[in-house]
Amino acid sequence: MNHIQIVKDTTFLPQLQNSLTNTYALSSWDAFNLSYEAELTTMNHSFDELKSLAHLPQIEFLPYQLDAAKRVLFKMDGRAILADEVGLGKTIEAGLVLKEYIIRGLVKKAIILVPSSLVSQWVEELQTKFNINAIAYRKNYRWEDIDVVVCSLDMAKKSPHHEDITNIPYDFLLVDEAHRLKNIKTLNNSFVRSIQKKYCLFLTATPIQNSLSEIYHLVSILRPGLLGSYDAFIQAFEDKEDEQKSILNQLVQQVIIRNTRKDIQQTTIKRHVETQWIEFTTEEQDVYDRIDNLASHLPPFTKLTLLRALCSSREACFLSIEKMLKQQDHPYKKELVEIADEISVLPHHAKAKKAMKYISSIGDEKVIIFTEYRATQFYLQWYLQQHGITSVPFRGGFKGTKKDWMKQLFEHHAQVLITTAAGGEGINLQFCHHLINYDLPWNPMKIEQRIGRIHRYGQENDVHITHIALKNTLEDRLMHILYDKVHLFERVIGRVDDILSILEIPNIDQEIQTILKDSDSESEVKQKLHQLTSIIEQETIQSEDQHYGRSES
Amino acid sequence: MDVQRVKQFTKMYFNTNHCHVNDINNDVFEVHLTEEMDKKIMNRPFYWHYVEATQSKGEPKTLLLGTHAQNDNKDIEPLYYGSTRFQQILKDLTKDVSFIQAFESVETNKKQALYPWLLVNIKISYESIQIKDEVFSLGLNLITGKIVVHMMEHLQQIPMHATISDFCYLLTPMITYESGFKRLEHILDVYIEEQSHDWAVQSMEAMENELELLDTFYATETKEKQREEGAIKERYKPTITFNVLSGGVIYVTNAFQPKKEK
Repeated sequence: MNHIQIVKDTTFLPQLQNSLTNTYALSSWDAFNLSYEAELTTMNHSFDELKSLAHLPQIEFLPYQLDAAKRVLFKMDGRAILADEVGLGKTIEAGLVLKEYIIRGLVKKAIILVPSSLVSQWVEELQTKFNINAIAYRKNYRWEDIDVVVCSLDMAKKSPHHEDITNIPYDFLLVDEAHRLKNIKTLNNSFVRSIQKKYCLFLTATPIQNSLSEIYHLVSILRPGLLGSYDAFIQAFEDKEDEQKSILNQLVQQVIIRNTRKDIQQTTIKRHVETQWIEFTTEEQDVYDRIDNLASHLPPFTKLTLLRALCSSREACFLSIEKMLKQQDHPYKKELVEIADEISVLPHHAKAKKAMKYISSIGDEKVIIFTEYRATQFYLQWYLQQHGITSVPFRGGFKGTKKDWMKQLFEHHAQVLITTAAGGEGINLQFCHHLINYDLPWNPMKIEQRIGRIHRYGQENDVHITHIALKNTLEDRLMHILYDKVHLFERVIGRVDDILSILEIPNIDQEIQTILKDSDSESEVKQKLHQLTSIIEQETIQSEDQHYGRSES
Repeated sequence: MDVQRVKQFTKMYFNTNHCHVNDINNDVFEVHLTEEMDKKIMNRPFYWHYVEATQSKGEPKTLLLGTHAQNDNKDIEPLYYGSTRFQQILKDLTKDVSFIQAFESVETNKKQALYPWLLVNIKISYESIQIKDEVFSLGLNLITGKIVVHMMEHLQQIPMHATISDFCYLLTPMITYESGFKRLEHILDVYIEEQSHDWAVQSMEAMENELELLDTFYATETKEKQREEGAIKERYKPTITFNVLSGGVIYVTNAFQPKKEK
């Protein structure tokens, strides 16, 4: 009690006297009540709850992200290194921490130092996601005028900015790609050390790259002395046995938060993947072969499109033909019209029957069916309905409300959801444990996104994934070459996109389609795909090395 | 605050600021801003400067606000608790201390005395590295000296008006505002005295810890070390701040007898 400074309100009384004599300064009773309610809703009810969540209903935070923010705010006193692996959302965690401080009135002036290529991205994220009025520093701005400023570290450290910045008492400092501070002899390091800051976050995916001294210098900016003096630290921990290492680990954990994919992947929930091989009926296979044998008459891409569509449904194939026929004087009009006629008399699709059988085998459990075709989606919905099974359709283009509504319908009123949207669509269906890949996308990563709809946080049961694939069709080939033999995608999901952009392969779907259509033989296809996958694999290993450096322990 | 309350609250805010509010549909409503409100919340000083310079008649904007989070219509501003607009409204309502003088409205044909009460809504903030607030609404009868907590909640039960009802007359306070305010402050002093303040103890411990760490880090007393020490003390220093949010004088009949609770 003795150490607590108590600050009384000394302005109220004189102001009260004044406003009672000058009644124009008085509120109306209604306005007075509103302002009281506004005070009650903005007050900080407790030292340690996240107020910001009520402000950000549009962001879906993952549990480990919430944990990270809470630890920084309430356990680490606002000084921490966020060192999650790439792609786990360090920016989200940092944004949440900053937002919470701002709402609590603890941070007014904040400075965010990032690589120059990321300045606008940070501003955009803070503004649109977090409603934080962040401003990118521009020439001639006065530093003290901007409350939340984003700037490149390279610019900030130069004169006269250097002096201006270090003169301002900032409440919050954030440095992205903070491994750039690890060398104590650099201007980066001394500049950041000299900034006045109350709360301080460093973001890096690679807290340790080469030597222990790096982590020492980084931690020492945040909590000088936490790792002792430099000499003692190096002596105690460099090249030492595991016991020492675990002591270091404990020390460092007071200031570093690091989530890895491995940590956060659910270990208890299993994924059962099964491929159900089926065959076309003779009639179907006849049509399929007929299209296949038209090779000399049809351009390869057309052929590929039709074959793939036929593997999904008569309707999908029919619609594809119809689309082609809309072109005036299609050179293969005659063939296409013939095929369309043959399709129209085919029986129900072999896959539809298989899917039906699967659905009835699992009782009342919910199932998601993924297909690439709208036509198949409609057909399946109709077909299931004929067998007394209710389903709801879902598409990527659905707007927010409709999305929610469809999800509600599925959760409470229907057994099946038939969707053409792969993933990343902001819909979580953890209450469902069965998934059917009704047809296979060109891009194996899409499969992972699909599975991610149900195999994610909040899932409490094992998930069952079923691929339905047709023997003696191109699905056979796809399945074998892409899905069975190539497991690389399982390992690197999330970063494959990065890797593809390094390799300047903009679109893996197209790449695979090109390989399939431009190759004359099965073996050529195989060879080219192998080439592609080995390049990706190699690049993955390299980039992983870059990202994580030497293994940490 | 839930969505409905946010919407209702926003409408009331604009109403009390003399702006017309119309429902467009279930979600969306429009607000015809007055010139004063446009200047206050629309952030377009150049326009109003231009209007004044040319002595033309300015046109205040009409706001379209929608409570549904994802509106596709770009003209409709999203309105939810965390939205920029709603936070702006809350900020406007809380930035200054509000003062009130209000009278219980009474329908009577007999003479009726109204008792003066001092109303003080006060926020106490406990701050070190983190922060927590408590809000108290206290009332003090300026004749009898009786003190009531949750004053606002009690007052919200009775009809209030900005002017005195017919046949009513005001009793002159026996206690001055100054002395009344002191009495209320004293109650809060005692309240604070009686608490254990673990938060402050923990904060002091953390401060000591950080200062000890500094000693191991800096071999000698340097300027940099002193600066770091100062910064640590500043960060962890526990402070309790009294902040009067709003207050004023309320006149009510003798029937206003809330039970004392604490």
